Amino acid sequence: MNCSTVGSWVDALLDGELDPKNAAEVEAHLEACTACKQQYEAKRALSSNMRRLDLGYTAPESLRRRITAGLEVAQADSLEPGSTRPRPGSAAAAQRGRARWFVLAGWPVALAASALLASVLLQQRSQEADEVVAAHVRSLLADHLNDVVSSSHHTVKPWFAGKINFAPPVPDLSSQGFELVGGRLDYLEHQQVAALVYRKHGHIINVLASLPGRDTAGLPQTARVQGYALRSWKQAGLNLVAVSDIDPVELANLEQGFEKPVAAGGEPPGNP
Amino acid sequence: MVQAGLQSLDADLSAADANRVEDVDQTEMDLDPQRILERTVKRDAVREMIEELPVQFREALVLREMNDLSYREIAELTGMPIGTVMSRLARARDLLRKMWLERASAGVLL
Repeated sequence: MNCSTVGSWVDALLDGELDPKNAAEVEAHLEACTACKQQYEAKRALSSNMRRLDLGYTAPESLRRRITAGLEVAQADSLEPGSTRPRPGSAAAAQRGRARWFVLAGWPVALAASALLASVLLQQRSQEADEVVAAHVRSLLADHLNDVVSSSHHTVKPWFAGKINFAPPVPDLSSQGFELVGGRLDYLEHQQVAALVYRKHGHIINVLASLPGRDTAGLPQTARVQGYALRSWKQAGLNLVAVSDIDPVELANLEQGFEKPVAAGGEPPGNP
Repeated sequence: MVQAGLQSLDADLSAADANRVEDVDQTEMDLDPQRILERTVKRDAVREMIEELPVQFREALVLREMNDLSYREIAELTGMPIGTVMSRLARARDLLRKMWLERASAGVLL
């Protein structure tokens, strides 16, 4: 094996895809050739960097499980000798081979597979989701979390009056473990929004409330962007989006809390 | 800041630095504002580069690196032969590394 033949075997070695014999050959070449060794190390660093950065092209775990399960079923199935199947080596077998797992695994897997491809390839990074995350990160970085610091919704809610032309819901969710920290004015796509800050288990949660004037098609109900969880909903004529590094389940709980605040001390989601 | 960001992006390509970074306690890394900013900048840069890749290379790369599928799984999913998966992945990494180095040397990473 030399530099011209080693080619993409370097990648296969990196990905742990080589059988022991070929792996040993490639490794032997890398030991002998500094240029190829450098290439290998650079690719390895590139790969580990990409994995560490949480770039967001990852399909949801549930979808991935369905797909790998579907692929395993298809593989196992293809190994069983079947009387109705064309003999190996025949043209029909070759042709079927390509479509095989789609056919045998059935539609659910085929659909899930195309969903996986779509979700990772056509994933349009939502400009708006990016902005929401940017607002969240900005609030943490610049120590500009709160303009009004109070754990009382009776203080936070009136603070917005006169500063912004709607009244955001500010429920008391302390019974569900969400501690109100305060509020501030922020901007999303040049539009002023009311930011409410809650905290649970040390995680800061920004809830951004805005009038539905802008196009919100880009913001899915739930999203993960750069490792942050987003959850958006509509309430009382306002668009709300919660963003945090907390477990997405907690954001669902938060949304429920906003929509159905507990009666005692709760803030009805009234209109402005 | 600009210089520091550039150096760290470039330097991360060396294996020595990759190891060093991996030694840093993950929690500490996530909480330090400077680190958060650097990561965000780097992440955006890498995303842009990935999106510049021709789709057939991006497909292989994303399925392998971000979804951790094996060559065989990628082959079955996309209908390409395993050999093609391997060569496309190699090409994707070559292109990405080239873009990375170009950006670093042109100073347009930030």
